[in-house]
Amino acid sequence: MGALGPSRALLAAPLVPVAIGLKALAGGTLVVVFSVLSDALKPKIFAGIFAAAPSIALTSLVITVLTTGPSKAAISSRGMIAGAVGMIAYCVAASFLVERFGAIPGSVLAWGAWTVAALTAFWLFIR
Amino acid sequence: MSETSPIPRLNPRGLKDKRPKDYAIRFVFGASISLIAALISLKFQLLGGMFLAFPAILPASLTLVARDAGREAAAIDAEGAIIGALGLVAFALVAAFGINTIGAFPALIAASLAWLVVSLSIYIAVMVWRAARKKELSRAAPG
Repeated sequence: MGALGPSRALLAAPLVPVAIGLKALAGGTLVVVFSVLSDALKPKIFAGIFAAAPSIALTSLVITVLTTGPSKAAISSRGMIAGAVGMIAYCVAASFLVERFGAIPGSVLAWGAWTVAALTAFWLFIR
Repeated sequence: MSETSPIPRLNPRGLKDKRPKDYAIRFVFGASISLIAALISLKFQLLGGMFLAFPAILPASLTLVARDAGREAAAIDAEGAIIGALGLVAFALVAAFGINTIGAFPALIAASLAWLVVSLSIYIAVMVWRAARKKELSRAAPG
């Protein structure tokens, strides 16, 4: 089956704000769905897997394919590889920092690990 | 089944102490990051893609787990998220190379399956390794 070509994108340029709103709405909704799943699972380490589910990625990429075509979604996915490397760094850092400094300072400090790792991976392998 | 059993199971009680506000916060985090990624992608598609794997829900989740079950439980939650993040790399790789070759929707389905399979495989491997190590330690220090 062939990919949906850019010329067959479903929405025209003036509808870009609608697509952005849809991405936000769908991203937020899928995040809540995975959060409920994570809260309702045991043991804690298994439930944690769902905290790193591709919720935002999946909704954004589906809407990108429908509105601007698959080629842009492929480019976004390439960028996402760097973000996912950053996510590993974030989780490793958070597992130490949360225990040491508490949940809010620890999880906010760990964003630094995401930024450094994601930008390094982006610079070295993606751009 | 004991509390320490690694076998995944449903725990509806985990939802009891959650308030609607808790999920509203996660919705706002998720929606905000989706919005930021979409806005950056308007000008910089590749860089915007990076934000599709931004840890948006994790800070909210860790804060709630710490509130309800303590810091140690939150750290364990983050350890589980490491496994999910490794799966996320598999998702991104399959999507990046699959969309232009097998088609967009088949690639996104394959990418989601890759996330699930990689995450579950690593989880099983870690649990087996931990059990073997525990056995070894108890054998090395009998009594």
